Amino acid sequence: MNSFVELFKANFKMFFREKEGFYWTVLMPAFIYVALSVLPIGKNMETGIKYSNYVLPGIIAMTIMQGGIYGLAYWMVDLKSRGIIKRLMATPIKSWQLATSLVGARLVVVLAQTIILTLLGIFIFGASFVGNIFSTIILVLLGGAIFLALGLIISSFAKSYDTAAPITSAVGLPLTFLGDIFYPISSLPHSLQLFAKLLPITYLSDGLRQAYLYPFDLNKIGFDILILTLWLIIILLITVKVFKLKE
Amino acid sequence: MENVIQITELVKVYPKKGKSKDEVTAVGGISFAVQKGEIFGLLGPNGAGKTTTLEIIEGLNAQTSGTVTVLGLDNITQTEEIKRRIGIQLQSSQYLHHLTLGELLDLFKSLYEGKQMNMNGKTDEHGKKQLLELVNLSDKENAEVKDLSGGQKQRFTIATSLVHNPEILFLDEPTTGLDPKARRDMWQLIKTLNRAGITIVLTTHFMEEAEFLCHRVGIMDSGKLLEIDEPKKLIDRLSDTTQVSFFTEDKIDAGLFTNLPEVKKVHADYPKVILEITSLDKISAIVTLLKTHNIIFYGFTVKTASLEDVYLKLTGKDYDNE
Repeated sequence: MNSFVELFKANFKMFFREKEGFYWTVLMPAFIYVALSVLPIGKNMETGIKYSNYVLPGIIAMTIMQGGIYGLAYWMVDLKSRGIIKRLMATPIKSWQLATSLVGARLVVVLAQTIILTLLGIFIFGASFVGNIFSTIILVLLGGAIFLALGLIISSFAKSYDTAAPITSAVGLPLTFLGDIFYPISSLPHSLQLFAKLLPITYLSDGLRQAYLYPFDLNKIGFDILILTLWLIIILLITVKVFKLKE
Repeated sequence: MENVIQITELVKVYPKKGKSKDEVTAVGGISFAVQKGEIFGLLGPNGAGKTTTLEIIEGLNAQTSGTVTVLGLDNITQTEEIKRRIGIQLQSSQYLHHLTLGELLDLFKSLYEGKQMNMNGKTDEHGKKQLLELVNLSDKENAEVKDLSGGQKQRFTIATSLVHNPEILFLDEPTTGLDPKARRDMWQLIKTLNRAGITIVLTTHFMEEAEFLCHRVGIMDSGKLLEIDEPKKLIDRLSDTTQVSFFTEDKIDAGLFTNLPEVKKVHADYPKVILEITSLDKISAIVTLLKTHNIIFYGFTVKTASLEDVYLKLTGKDYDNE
């Protein structure tokens, strides 16, 4: 247990001491959010609500997704290629302890990002938060776990940054543009809508939007949470099957 | 002598990979033992199977066949227990970014804690200071690895592998890439650790290093163990152990030396004369002979055989020209 805690702490320290990483994971989504809210981008979108309100939960969903499949995957690949994973595996620690401590530390980061973006939205852009905090936390943790595990899966297939980059792009781009992040999926062509409805990010965006913009409705949010839970089970099963720390 | 590592008929075959159609036999059935308290060196060219052998002993890799026991424990079924009792230094000296040396030592120590939590904060802090002092990095506790020189990095990797007081320490090419001064510092450190009772198993590319440090060496090539013995004995086993060479002012008769019983071979090519003799003791006889015949000579050198000669003879390869 102690080794888990120490690894968790170490991961956490590393994350916050990495200035560039901090910039990309915390400030970049905030910049994107500010830009989307200030620029007249969402004017023509028929969302029925102020665009800065509409896009905030989407940006949060996107940030959670990127933290996993870009952040964690690249980081794991870096640790692997520099021989650090091997060095850690030379100690009695088990690979699942290492993986869970990495994911655990990143989940805390994801929660912090959510809070920062939410406060930014509420205090600068007057975004509303009328849903409930509890379901928001559940959604963030579920989404975080799904995409962090996906990051672990990607890192199992990639030996270097050069292999990881195309894989993350291939996974990340459709999730970004079809995932109900910037615009409702009803504005997509029909075939793409069907595809979008299979993606976990769609349910994370929708769930967060429900939680932020509408009074708590178990039927609607419950459905998103259910689908995300199913996704998490599937992803975890795949992770257990394919995740390996060896180079 | 108690054996702390026992390897019997160890084989490691890597499956076909990529375009190559053949399996690769990295280790082809080797057996040897490492004794408690010794410094044991594994020598051999790149691809000889040294690192694979080490990784199997360390529990980082599994063998295809054969048995390996470390401190009486089986390397496959008791891997975790082995890892708790050995220290490993890998070829890469990279660590997690943004952590100080002190924090990294704390982290590595925690990885060995397991269920025991009876750790006293004070003694641990003391242990950390001692460890940094041992590897001569006392003033670097709050520095990061990236700020260290090559030699300091390498010494730090040793510190991280000592946090749990291991009984055996594995060093994979501990001095590769170090300057001569740093290399000598490392040798001193290794000797100090060994004197403190730690059995040391190392691989190296430097024959001089093996000769200076190791009580026994095993020479590997193409997955086979060619020889295993004390460096001195390996060298003594080579015939023509000592070579004497000098230049003469005037051309001399090579037959002059063939009469000496100690001289095995004469190679005279004016102005240079090379004599191969059986032992260092015979040098005075040669000098006396030269004096009595009033031969003026200069550039007198004696070259004894080294581990490098043994290595060259066994592997047919030259480390420097690899």
